[in-house]
Amino acid sequence: MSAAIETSGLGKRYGRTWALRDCSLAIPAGHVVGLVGPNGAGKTTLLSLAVGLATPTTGQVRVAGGRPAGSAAALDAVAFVAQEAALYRNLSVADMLRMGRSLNRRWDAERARGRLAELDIPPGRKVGALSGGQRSQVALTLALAKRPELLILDEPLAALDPVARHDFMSALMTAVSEDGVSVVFSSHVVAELERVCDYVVVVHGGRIQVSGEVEELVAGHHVLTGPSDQADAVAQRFPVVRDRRTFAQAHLLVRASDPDAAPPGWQRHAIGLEELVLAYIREPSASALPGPKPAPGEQVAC
Amino acid sequence: MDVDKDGSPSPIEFRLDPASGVPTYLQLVQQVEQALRLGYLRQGDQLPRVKDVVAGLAINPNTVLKAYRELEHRGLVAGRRGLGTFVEGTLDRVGLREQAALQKSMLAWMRTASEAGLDDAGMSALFTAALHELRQSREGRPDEEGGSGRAGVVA
Amino acid sequence: MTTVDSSVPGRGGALPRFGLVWVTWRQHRFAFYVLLGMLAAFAVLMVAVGLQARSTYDQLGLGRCASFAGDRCQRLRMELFDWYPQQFPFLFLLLLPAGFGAITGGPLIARELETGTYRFAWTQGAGRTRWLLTQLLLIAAVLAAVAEAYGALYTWYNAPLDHVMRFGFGDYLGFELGGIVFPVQTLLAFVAGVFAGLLIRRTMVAVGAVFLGSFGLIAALVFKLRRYYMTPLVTAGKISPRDWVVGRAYVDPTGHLLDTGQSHILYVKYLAQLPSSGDGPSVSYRDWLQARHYTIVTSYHPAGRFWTFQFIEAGWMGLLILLLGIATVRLVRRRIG
Repeated sequence: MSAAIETSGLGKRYGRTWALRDCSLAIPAGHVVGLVGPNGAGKTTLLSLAVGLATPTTGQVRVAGGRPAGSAAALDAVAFVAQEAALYRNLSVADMLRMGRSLNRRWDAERARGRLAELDIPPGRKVGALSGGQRSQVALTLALAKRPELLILDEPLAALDPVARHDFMSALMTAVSEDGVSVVFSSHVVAELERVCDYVVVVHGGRIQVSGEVEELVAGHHVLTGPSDQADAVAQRFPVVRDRRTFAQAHLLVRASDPDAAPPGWQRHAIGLEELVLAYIREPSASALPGPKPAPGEQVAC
Repeated sequence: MDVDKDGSPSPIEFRLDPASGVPTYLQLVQQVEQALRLGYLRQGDQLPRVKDVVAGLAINPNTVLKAYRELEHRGLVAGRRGLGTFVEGTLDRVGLREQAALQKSMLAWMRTASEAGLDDAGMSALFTAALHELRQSREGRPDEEGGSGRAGVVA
Repeated sequence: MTTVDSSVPGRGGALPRFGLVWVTWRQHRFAFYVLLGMLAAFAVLMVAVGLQARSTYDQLGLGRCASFAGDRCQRLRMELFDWYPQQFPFLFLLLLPAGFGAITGGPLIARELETGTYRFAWTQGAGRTRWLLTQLLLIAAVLAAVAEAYGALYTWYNAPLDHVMRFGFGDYLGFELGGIVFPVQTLLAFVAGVFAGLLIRRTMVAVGAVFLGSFGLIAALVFKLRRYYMTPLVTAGKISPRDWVVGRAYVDPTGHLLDTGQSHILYVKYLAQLPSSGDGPSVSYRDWLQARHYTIVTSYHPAGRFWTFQFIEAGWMGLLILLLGIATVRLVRRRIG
């Protein structure tokens, strides 16, 4: 399967700070990929590099099946929805559509107009006069009208109210089901990821911490709950991501897919994606990257 | 008040409970089975179109596809290329009279439990534990595929 | 649903032929209207007054004056000179290259960076280089045309007066508007504006800085520096009407060059001996000096140098324009984002 985004040794430095470092990813196409992490973790930097708005300091990045990021071929195949829907505020919606048509080789004007009509967004209105949710929808319409293979969105939900958020996601998911477009979107909100993403990448402190299919990640982790005095012994048997204990009770988040893994006297709980991602973010030294599995008893480290 | 009626060809519509902790695709599977049990879905009925589910719930289309595949796997539905997914098999539907009888025997048990001093929450916990035990005993049986597909029948 | 050519992923076709032209137009529509509006107003003024000037010229019978040595023709031409509006207000024209250039150039890239819209514009299929080049070339063409139109209009308007007065070619407005430097200055301010906008990333600051800088440069050229493009010729004799006098020095009968103070004293002496209230013929300063065996040493550029000077100025400005333009394109391509 071709890759939606492929990077090797990608790094970006602004002045003396490394916004992103040692980033090697192979995000497969045909997925809805969630790029999560705290603010300032490097998500926007990674996406900017992927769409060619910034040049790497080290390494390289290719998109939509091996096209160098920012090249003419990539610009045709990749659509970008920037943070806060970068649109010309003083232009009308119709003018924005015309601008999209004028700047792209492939453009489905009919469909763009149809979407806007369905959303009740009057084409004559100036973009600046639209609500935040409407602006985001316009930006999404423009991106989809390009018929991209890959759609990249930077924090698309950040400025939206809950209804607008739902409408936006609904529109995005519909596009995925109708066009089969690969989607990568960043978010600093971790809740409700599982409904939408089937692949997740966690960025923290400029490095990739987690990268994998949601199903595999969720199936591959469990929380073992049991008495604290046995915790050390149990921790020897599995790669432990996170270890939380009181004087009596311990919760160990371990990487194990073996269903019979629970030691006697311990309970085994499945873990949801949100909890899993948060646990990794709280343990910056842990990582879950494709590659050789860590040995039992090892603290899963970079 | 607006009654939200869409033009969907399916008799049922999905809803999601994000707080339930149950994976999304499993919620869809369970809702289809429940609908079959209660008679909302009958043989030959069409399941909601993927694109309608996706638009309504804002979930990943793969999740819907996964749910439908699971239902197909359990022999309950079949996809017809270009047309949609349709109900093929049936769950062992418990007839209305049977259901009434079962409810009566359950009430009798509840009265016994209540006289023994168990409150509502206690009864509910007991029921959940017993259900858990039932499920575990089924999983222990070899070659039992999709055992929970035959749920709804209390032995 | 429409059928769109999606058989070849990533290469659905070509860019719409005048797509980028439309984009440039739409983004600079307002500036274009203002430019044209101002030009139209100026044109109306110039044509109206210019036509009246020509009719006055004919009425005065200036066409029959072969030279303006004689008293009568001298008087007539001074009448035309008095008729003409004052030249002073037209010095506002000197603001135009800096103004037009800075206001169209400054926001070009700066506004995109400031508002974040570059994230849209530079991720579309056309790419940033084509986007930038189209904008630069189209706007430059329009600016050059508008500037040239101003020049042509003023020159036409001024032609009757210029014909009779025969100003030296270094006359501020005459030189500015009578050749090619006006458009070139405008383009220089424009490219400087774009470049400054790219570096400073703040529209208002870029526009302000480039306006002041460009106007400062032009003013310095017009009033001070332009005369140094070539070494002036020096003569003790008379000069021709359209020669550009850049310096005058006085040599006393003993061959001693007078300094500024002494020249001034000499002139005061001349003024003192003039008959009061204009009774009787007055002698010209030149004749008075000649009678006293003073020599006037004139530094000047002969009239034929007009186009040479035009090309010198256009040349070094053109080089700057090229350098700034290339620097802008290269910086933009290096993905400052």
